[in-house]
Amino acid sequence: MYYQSRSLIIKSMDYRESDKLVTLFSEKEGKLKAIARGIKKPGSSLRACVQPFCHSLLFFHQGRELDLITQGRLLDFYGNSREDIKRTLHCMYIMELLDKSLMDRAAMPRLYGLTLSILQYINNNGLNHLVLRYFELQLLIQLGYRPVLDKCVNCGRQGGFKNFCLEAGGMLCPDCSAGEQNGIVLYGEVLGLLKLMAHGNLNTLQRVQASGAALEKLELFLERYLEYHLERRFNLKNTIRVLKKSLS
Amino acid sequence: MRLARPLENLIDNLLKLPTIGPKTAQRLALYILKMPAAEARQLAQAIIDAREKVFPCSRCGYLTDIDPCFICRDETRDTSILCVAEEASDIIAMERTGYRGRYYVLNKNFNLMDDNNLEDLNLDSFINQLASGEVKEVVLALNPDIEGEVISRYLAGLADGHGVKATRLAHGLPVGGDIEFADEITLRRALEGRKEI
Repeated sequence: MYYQSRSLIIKSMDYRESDKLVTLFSEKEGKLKAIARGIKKPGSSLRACVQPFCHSLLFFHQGRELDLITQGRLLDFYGNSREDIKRTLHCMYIMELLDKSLMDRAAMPRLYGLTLSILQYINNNGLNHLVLRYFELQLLIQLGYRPVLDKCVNCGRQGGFKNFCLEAGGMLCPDCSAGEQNGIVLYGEVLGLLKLMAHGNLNTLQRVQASGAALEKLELFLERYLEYHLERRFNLKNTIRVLKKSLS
Repeated sequence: MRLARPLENLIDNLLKLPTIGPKTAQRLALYILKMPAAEARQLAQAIIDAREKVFPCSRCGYLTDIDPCFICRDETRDTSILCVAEEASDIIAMERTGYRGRYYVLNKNFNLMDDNNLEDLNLDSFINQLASGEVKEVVLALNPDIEGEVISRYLAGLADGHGVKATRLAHGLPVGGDIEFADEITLRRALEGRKEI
């Protein structure tokens, strides 16, 4: 059976002599792995379509175990991001998040649309750390890990609490957080940004000016939240830090 | 169908080689059985010798049976230029171009999403060569993919720290290729790297 779908390329790895095993996030089928034949050869017309973080229209032939990519048309390769190593690495980080968090063959059209708009935003406007954090939080929300920020996640009491519990996925009131060892203190600008990101959209977010300290704290919080619930480590973050150190 | 155990064992071992599928493994195994005994022994001995006697050169990482390798010993080569490659097979390709400088082979598969770290790359000998003051230019001949780009930037940062110029191979159209069929990414790189004639 043949089918076609717009897809974002997450990564590819060598497979046999000149083939690659491509992991992609397709609009209709969700995350899947497919074989792209002969793409290491210079004459391959598929090669550009299956580069990491390219947006392509791909045509598949359903196989017994793995599907085969038969044809493709490049829709966008985010050329500006590709010319800048920092933007490239952050786009790859988005791909890593998708790779390590999505289940195979579970379509997520809203997340697909969001990923496209974030890649487009980075390509057109440059790197914006708040937009990246927005993607991390929205990914968690789409996966069912929406943090409860305006009431106690345990007893439902309303109020401005400061203690966030990773395990419970929300704020805890002083009564419920008694004896809690692994709480994260969240308040002020960081908490405000989190609430805005949880309910706002990309248009409102790009007009927000956040302080460097708040962005740093937000990044650390979301990193811990992602790692706790997805039980994965994200290697790109480390590479970005090493490269930043070496280039500075 | 049940096969003789030694034959089955041979097929199983040939199957471990890249690009060899079950049918090819069976064909190769049957061919080996038909070979004269001396030739089969020679083949087995060649595999053992290559495995035991060939190792990466301590200076450049190229595969050799003497240390330093014949490239590092060659005094006619230009020692001021150091070409960094991912694999030993890339050196064979570079040698065909007539390049006469020295090499450094990383010999490590680096994947951004796996548990690889840039700091885990074995770069001691590379850094020593930069620090010696002999090298004036580092040519980064890594694959034109994202991993290659990241390693190139990292190595360029190290070279810069030692006051050594870092260059990388140009990206663009293959000789004899057709612009009409070139992909957008390659064409954009080719346009950016255009030269005055």
